[in-house]
Amino acid sequence: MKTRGRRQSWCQYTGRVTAVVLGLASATATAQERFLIEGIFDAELHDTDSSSHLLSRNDGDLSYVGRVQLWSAYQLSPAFQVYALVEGEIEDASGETESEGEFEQYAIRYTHQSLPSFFIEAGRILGPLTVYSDRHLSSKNPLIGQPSTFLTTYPIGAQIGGSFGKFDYRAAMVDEPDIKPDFLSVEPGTAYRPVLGFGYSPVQQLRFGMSYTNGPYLGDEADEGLPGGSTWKDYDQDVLGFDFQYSAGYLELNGQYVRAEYEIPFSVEDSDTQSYYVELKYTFTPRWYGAVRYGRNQETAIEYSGGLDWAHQEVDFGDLEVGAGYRLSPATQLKVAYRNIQMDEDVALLGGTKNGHALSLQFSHQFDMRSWWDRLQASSGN
Amino acid sequence: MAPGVRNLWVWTLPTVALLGALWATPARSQPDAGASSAPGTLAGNIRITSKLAEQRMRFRLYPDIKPIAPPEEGQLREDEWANIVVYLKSTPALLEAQQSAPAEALEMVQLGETFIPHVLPVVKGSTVAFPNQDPIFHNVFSLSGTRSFDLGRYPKGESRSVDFDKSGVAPVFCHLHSDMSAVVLVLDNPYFAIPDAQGRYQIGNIPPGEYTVVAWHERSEEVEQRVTIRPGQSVELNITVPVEDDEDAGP
Repeated sequence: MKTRGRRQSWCQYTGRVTAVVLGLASATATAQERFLIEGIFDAELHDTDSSSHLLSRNDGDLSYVGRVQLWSAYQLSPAFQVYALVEGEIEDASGETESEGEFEQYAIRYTHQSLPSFFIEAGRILGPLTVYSDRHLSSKNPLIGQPSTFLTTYPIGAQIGGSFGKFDYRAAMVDEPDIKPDFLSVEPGTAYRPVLGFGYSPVQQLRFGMSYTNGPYLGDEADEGLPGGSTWKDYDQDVLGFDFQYSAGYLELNGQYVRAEYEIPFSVEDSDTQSYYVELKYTFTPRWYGAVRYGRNQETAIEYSGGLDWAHQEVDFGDLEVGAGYRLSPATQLKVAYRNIQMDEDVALLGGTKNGHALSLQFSHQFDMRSWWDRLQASSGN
Repeated sequence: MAPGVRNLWVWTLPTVALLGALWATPARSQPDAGASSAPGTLAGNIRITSKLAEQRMRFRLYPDIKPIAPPEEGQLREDEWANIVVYLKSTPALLEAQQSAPAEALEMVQLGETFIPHVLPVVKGSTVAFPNQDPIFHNVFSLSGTRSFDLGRYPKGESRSVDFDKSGVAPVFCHLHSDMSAVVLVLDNPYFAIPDAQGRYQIGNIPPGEYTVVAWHERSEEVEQRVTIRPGQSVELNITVPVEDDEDAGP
């Protein structure tokens, strides 16, 4: 009996400690839902040319894309949440229908209860360097495409973030490069590297940000073509980025600039690249808005052809996308956008200059599955 | 006393009493503008299901760079009764009675990335201000048929206003924070009430008559009941939202 008593008290003690650690002790008396499922459905039509490196779809024939992104979160306690984002996509390519699904994100997030700006999350997270990524979902992206170079990534890692006064910060360790060259013939491998970010907001409508990362950008398949004694992890990218956001009234302005240096096998000098984009959105009426994004990318095409055969060449191109959106409802919108990519010079590594254009139409609808359930219950209850 | 005199008193007193009674009784039943139009009161308790009482979980897939602490205790009513509006459907009598009631200037504050109050009933013709009290931008908008507007982005300390000239439901959102939502319920007359934290409501000054009482909640079908308000009387009417079996009823 004594043993059982001790065990009970130990269990009670452990339970209390666990409750305190998880923040259960501070739960409010109000009943709180602990689970949600939300998502976005996108349907897209694209009419592109047939030879653009970055824009062509379906060999230039009219193509469609259907996409569902579902995210779910469970509140372990007021302080801890686990969440996951699943994406399923179907599209036609060269006359055949292709579909794929993937767990894009899954992580646990801790939010300090009395310091809500402080968070820690670990798992497969959104790449922290590219500030555009926060707006990549179709409900936030005012256009249809994503800016070249600044693509959304989902590395595995952990990050902390927060703010104090007019400053904010993020620090992360992630296993993939957050900025990937658009023209790299080797699939990047996984290796942890730091990502740091700082922000300063002199006034509410303006924020300047700065970010930095350094780490390998090649992958396993490059190892056999490297000088003796070196591995792909010895070839780093060094990325320094600056960004800004400004908004006032019906105007929103976003931009980011990165300068990246790449160590290239058998090359004496590093390859310098620079990319930026500036995006402007203006809301004309409660339902209508227009947006334009222009980016300039001075990248490097890095080609590994097996053996010790490495080549690289500068690729300089402009990327313009202009479009308009119409809100059918607060959760539903229709967008049309025209995108054009122009390369300045002939790029032999890419088989010549490959300019391109795309005309796209996107219907997107954001939903909350709980509200569907509520409506069903309400109608059956009456 | 002579017998004749006594007989006179015997007959006279009841006769006077009877006449007095006859005089008095019709007087009470005579039309009297002041008495018959004495307003009545409608009061009662609102019962809500436990499911309806659950607070929604707040989660952002991509948290803001500068998130704001939720409203502190006391700044926001957390009971779900605060999101219920009990109102009378308009009748000619109500419309006539309300003519003297001026349109009100009201507020829906943005604080702690929350609209406060979450449900704001207003009389048609009212102006609602949307002051931003958060140290971040908000962008209030509505696409409803009741009132479509977009107030643009504005910082802490600034406020924009909207006139609501058409009755109906106007869901309100923030472009920047998709988990922020609220409702402006625009009503034809001022005969409405929000229950207190115990679910008790009261609507006073109601002209006598027959009315349809509506209990409204954004996540429920409207619950309607008929009620008769008699001059100067208080009518007790309890309503369950949404309608359900008693054994399933929550708080």
